[in-house]
Amino acid sequence: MTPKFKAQAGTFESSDIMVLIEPVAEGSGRQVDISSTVMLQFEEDLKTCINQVLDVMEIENVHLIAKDKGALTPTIKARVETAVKRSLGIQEGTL
Amino acid sequence: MTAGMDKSIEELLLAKDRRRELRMQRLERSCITLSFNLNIPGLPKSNEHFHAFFTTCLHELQDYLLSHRIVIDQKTIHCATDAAGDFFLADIIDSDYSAIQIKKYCESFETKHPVGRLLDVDVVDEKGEPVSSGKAKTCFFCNAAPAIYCMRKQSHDYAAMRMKVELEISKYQESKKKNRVCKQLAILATQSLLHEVALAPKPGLVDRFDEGSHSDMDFSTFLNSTAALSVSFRKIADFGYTFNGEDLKEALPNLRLLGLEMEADMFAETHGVNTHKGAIFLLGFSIFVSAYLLARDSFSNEAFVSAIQKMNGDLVARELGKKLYLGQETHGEVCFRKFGKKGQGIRGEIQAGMPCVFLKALPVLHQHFDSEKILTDKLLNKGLTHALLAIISQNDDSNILYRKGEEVLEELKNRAIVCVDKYGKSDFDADYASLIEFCKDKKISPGGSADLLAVSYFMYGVNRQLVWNDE
Repeated sequence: MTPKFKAQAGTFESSDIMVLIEPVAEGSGRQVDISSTVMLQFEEDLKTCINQVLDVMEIENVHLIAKDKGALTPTIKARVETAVKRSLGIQEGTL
Repeated sequence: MTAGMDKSIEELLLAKDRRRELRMQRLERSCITLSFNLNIPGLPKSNEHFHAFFTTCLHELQDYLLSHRIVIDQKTIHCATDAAGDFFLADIIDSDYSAIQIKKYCESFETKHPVGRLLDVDVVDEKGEPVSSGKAKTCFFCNAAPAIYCMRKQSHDYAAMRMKVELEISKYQESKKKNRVCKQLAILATQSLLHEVALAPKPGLVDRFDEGSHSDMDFSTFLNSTAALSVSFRKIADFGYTFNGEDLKEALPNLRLLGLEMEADMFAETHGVNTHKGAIFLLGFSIFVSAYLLARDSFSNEAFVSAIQKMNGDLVARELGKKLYLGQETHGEVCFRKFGKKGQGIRGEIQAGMPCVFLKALPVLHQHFDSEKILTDKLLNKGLTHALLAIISQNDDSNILYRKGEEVLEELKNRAIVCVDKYGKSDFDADYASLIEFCKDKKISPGGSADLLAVSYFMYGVNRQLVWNDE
């Protein structure tokens, strides 16, 4: 599936993550940008975690920007999933 | 929402979303906002302990901000507890500081605070951007790696982390309790001396209008002496609160040392007149024992009496039976030699468990004050006069015994008994006036009873302010 709308999920509260999604043209592939304000050494871990969710949801063409405030894995997964669903137009509201 | 997502994580994330919404609503006002929450690992994020700790620290933070002239807009305060824990959010009124400067002050608040690692003060600038210092805090638990590292790696066991957090919070709250209790004890001790001397009219004693039977001291001498002693009351309270010797008697040398210092301070302020020697002795013991028991949450009048008796042991035999100082006998020693049991003075009173205070004065003070919210001058005058008479009627004041002999002491006691019986009746005033006249005439000053009155006020205050209020 390919995201149709700009969408976001998450917050800038500590131990949370803000996930922004921008639609891209079919065939442009995945671009995942991370800005962890706290520690860059976890960038790869974070990317792996995000990519896992994108794999499961079968999202191949997307630009995802994550601003991390020290979120743990379950939080990252939940926030990415919600952002993707919103960008697909299949989830309204929170989370 | 994610299928199978843990209910508690779902609630946590929802709570964070609501916090973000709250922040967004403030954006249109375009001012700097400040938030405060605790860093609690694991769940739940708040409980009774955490909430009390949060409240304590929030007060400290607000005072800190005020002291730096960073002003919180009271109308914009949001303070609530949700699944993400306790949360405070407020706007900052136009300040001379930028958001970055405010963040720096807040960081310094966290750094200087004894358990600052558990505190999270965040600043968001006028555009809604969180201000970050870019500094990585170290892990509260291992104090070695950066906190974020341990979080990501899940380095530590949640149960163990929470135990440490609880422990640190308890220690901090305990230090706050110590400060509060010791401060209150010092306040009560100073009040007890002030209210005792201010009480008027009194038989033979210095009061706010009259010098009674004295020619070498007046009201101001007592105020100066009280001021001198007030400085040391807190020291005795701290000593009692932290004392952890096996036997309370081990505290005696240090207590005596404090007492001697207080006597010297008193004499310096009164130009050599003894205003409060008895009060130093009695209040010193009372503050020490009260603090000791309050620290262990085991204060009661019975526990107090038993502790003070144990501390003093066979005080009469030890101190009156043998010479402590070379040279002249003290008044107390002369009295004991001449009058035996009746001449045991204040040492005898203590050894007997302070019956003048606990059996005579305290019931009277309870009767007068318990139902009153604020003890006005008028109320104090009534209650303390009644209590003073109850003490005089019972007390074998060695002061009077030494200066005036047994007969005068007995007559004074009998007149006080009559006054106590008539208290509240129409002819009380006439009898009390005649008792005052009698003391003036015979130049009697029941100073020992005045000391016991001060102690009675103190003990009443301990019960009222530190026992009932804390229950």
